[in-house]
Amino acid sequence: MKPFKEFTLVFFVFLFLNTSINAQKAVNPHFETHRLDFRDLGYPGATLIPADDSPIACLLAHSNGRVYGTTTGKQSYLFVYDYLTNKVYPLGQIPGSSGVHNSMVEGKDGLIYIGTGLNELMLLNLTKDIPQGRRTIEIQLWEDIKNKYEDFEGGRLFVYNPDEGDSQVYLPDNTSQVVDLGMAIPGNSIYAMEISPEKDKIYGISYPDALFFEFNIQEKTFKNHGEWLTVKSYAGPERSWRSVPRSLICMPDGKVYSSGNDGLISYFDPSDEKIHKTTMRIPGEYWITRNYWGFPVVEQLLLNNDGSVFGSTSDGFIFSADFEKKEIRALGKPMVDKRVRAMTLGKDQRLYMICGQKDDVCRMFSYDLSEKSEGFLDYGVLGVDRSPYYAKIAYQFDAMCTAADGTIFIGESDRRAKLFFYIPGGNIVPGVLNPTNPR
Amino acid sequence: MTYKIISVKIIRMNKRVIKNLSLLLMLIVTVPQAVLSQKINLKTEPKALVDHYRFVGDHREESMWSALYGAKSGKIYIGLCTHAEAAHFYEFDPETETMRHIVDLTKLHNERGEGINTNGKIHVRMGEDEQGNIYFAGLNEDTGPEAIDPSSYKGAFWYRYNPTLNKVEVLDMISPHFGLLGMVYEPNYNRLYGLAEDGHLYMYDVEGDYTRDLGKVDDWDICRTIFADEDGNVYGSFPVAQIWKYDPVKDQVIDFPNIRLQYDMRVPPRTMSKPMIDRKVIWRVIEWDPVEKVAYGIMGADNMLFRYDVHKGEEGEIDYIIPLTAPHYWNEKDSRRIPFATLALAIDQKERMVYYAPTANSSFDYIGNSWDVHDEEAFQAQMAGGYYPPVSYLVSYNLKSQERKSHGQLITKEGKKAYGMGGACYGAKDGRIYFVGAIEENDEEYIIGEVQRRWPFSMGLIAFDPNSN
Repeated sequence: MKPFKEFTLVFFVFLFLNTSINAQKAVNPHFETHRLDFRDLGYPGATLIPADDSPIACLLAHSNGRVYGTTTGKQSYLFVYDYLTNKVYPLGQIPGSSGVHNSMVEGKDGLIYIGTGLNELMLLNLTKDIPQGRRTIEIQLWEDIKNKYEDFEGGRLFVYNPDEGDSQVYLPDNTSQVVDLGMAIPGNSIYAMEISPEKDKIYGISYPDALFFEFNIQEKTFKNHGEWLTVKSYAGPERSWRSVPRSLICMPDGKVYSSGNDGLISYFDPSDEKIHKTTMRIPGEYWITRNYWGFPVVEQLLLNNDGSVFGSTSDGFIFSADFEKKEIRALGKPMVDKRVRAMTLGKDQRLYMICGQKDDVCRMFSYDLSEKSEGFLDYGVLGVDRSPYYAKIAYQFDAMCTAADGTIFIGESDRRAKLFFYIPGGNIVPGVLNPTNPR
Repeated sequence: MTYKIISVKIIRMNKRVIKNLSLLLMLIVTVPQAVLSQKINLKTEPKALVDHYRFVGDHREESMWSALYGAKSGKIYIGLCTHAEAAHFYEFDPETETMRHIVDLTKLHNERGEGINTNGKIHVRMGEDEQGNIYFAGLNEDTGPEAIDPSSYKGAFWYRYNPTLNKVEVLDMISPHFGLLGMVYEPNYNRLYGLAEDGHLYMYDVEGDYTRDLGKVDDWDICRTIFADEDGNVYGSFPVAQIWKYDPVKDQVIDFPNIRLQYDMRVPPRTMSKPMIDRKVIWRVIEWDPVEKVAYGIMGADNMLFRYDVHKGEEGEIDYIIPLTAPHYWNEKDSRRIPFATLALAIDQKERMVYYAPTANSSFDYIGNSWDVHDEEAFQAQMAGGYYPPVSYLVSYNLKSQERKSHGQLITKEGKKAYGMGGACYGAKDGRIYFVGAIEENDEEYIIGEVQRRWPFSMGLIAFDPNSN
């Protein structure tokens, strides 16, 4: 009986281990893997940004050739990647900020403007003990969302001068050399930001109230232009977030575009200082046979050299738009998941993007803008393997930018985040899936 | 200065006089019109007096559709709905006259505090197996919440309530998206059949604990009630005026090619802003009568009571008996004026009586959430010459003597109007006829909404005793 018992035990231990081993897979991307690498956010044991504060939700490719980024967590940090030394340097804490979300722009003289707020990557714990009755679910949902901002004064706009600040060494407790320009919208984070072509005005959208504001750089004054969205939509996939556009774009004529109510492109016209609705509807799921009034929002809006615009939506669609002609064209949806977490225009006539939800594993894709029209390419999961020195397979990203040399920088947005980069020119393996990945 | 004050006073006085005169004029014009248009003799007509029972727990539900069932035990089971929130399941014991809250579907599925679409409705008349277990199903339909991503919905399920264990069991998933609007328990095969929002007929095999999609049987505006005959065949109606039958022996849904339901072509669709073939061209409510082995139903457009003998010929035969509208429409020549049928039909099998609660004016909805309901209300008001209290009548039809009788307007013994009834059932032990719907409410504490955004109400269970009326 005893040997049988032992055998059974060994059998089950073996079975368990085998299951555990099979539960996760070490995967490599679908291209020449030496084109992908990452950098720590500082020097371990000395300047490294604390793991809890490291998720990256904003990157900026600066005209000085460096890449600047900000983190989101309990405390927000500014950092820079310097191509001359191949390193990330923390640039200190951004005062009173736990998040910077899609809100860094380069102004005149290389000044960097940073819009701050709370940690907007965080999912909320919603109240379960909801009062009974008509519409109490969404009423409580909104209250839960608003509660986060109850004691929050409001997101502030800072300006940072790289010429002055970059040369310093910052320990994790040091404050960055930013200058406070004031609060944008009381009780709101700055959620998305854009600068005018003349670089004299900064525009932004707040969260959660979706208010549209303007900052006059010369006068150092804010102006609240009111609600960009008048309808509250919770289009998901995150269940505790209001759907508010995550990007704005300022066109050469000075008009500021983003998506508005019902997924229609809206724009702010500085000449009449009003928000206008268009008939261009961003691609997404509108559940038209259901009693549903929600809508997707834009994730990114990028201006191409030829004046056309590329965008992505919270439902995971990529589109191109010609605002003058009032045309919008869906280019496709590369992943089953919703969300396009980050997107950037490469210098190789490709649009690069990170797709996937917060509760799933993100992958990188590109869309071919050249005459070859190769469509979407799947680059796979971004894993770097330099065992035994370092290795990492990252699942979550929320920022991307294209550096001066065309390198695609990708900000990881998980705890203990790294700054990834992909050197374009890689080839997707025949059959797309990396054959070394176990299946 | 004095002149100014005097002129202001004169203007104010004139305004008051004009206001009063206008009011008087409106009353002169509207009261006779209202009375005439409805042909109601308010003084002389009888009243159907009913006992009124409140729901317990202050869950603030605001509608009920079909979900009322009189169990063999004599107990009454009710499913209430709350827009953009939760569906609740209740039990009423006529013996002790106690109401008991059994389950909140959003709690059962852990849907609260998740920021997701919820099971806000139970829209089916329950079924009962030999052991006395009560079956029902959930639904999201238009309850949303509309602002929240519909893909967040956890799905619609079949449920079984075991009265002995006092336990609600979640059975199989019907569909990840679509819940049921009509359901029947079929005892021969021990199955549940449900008609879902996607127009598909779903079958749940109780013994095997599995669900099968039997395919699309309906169009966009789904038939609200289906029935099963004594052999286990299941029937439903679909536009335009057609009938389907699921044959469990052949395991096949047959769309009868020849038989047609009778409907008045003059009756317009629910909305005229966007007229479309809808639920008016099918039956509204139907119930199998095991005594005669036929089904009795009410047509949507004109409240016509009909008998469907499924055994006559290959497709059965339908006899149209008499409209069970409110009495002031009994001689109505203009069928467009007749309000849309309700789901409040019950058969007293012992006394061979059919009871039905039609509305006196306009089609009935509780608060009305969607565009089509508002549009329908507006159109009906246009036809009727105004908005009137959406009261209900009780009309019966004696299957033996073939007599139709109006018992009058449904009024609670406390004098409250029954505004609109979402379902009816027969009490197996006490012989009373039960209805659930909107009851006139004056107490601020209990008001949960306004019918047509005009008439304050609360949800209530009412019981009509044929022996004392």
